[in-house]
Amino acid sequence: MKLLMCLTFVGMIASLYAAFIYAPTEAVMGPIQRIFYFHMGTVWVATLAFIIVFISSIQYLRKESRFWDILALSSAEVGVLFITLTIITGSIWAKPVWGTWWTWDPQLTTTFILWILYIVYLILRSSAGSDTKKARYAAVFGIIAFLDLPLVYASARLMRGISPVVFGDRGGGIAPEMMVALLVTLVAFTFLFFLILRERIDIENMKDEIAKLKIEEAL
Amino acid sequence: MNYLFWAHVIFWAALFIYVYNLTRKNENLRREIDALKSSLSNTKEEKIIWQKQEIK
Repeated sequence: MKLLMCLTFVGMIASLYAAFIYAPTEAVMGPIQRIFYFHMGTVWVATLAFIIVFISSIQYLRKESRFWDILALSSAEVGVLFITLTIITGSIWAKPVWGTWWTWDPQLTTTFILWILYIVYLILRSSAGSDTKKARYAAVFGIIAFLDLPLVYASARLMRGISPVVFGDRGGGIAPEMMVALLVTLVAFTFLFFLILRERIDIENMKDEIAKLKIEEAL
Repeated sequence: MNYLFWAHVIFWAALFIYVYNLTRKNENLRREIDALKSSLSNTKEEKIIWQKQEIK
């Protein structure tokens, strides 16, 4: 845990340095483009989180183990935080570049739907409590909600929109220094994600322990 | 530049608030577990004393 904390701290400092000092200023957009690195970091964490929710939900339905249930719930919460930050930082970037805070571009629309779906998942899962039947419904919803994630990525590539494509045949084209800064940010955000996820999982485990101790005390 | 500043303010503030809440919850739960464990061990000791007294 301490190693992960150190890696996250060093990684975040390195990503700030890479985004603000190392990466060159983009010719057309100017300094505002530097939002891109942290924006992509939040996109990456949200993607990772929702993939974990998907896998954990399948595993929970298969094995009915509390471990997978906790992992899915914790990961979804972190994912919602980061997808919210994706939408906010994306909006702030869009205003000076596109001249609007929000537009119903295919990628933005599918991202908005993804955000709503996982908020609904969290509401469903929180209302389930220790009811395993409701937890199973939430897991099914977690699997269905994930279907929107490939759409978010595909929409920028297959449909006509104004969202830029960073990776892929149509996109990229960013300076090598910018790519290095982006990769440093993605690595730092991965450490940050696992650190927060670990802390969130601990909370659920402790809640379970308290419930057990209370039963023991009542007996 | 203003937009860049506010994007980072919002990002770091949200992250700080979330992590702070997690840490606080974590500490409160840990304290509750300790309290429950000590209360349980006290109850067990009391039960042993009662059982000994009943035997006598």
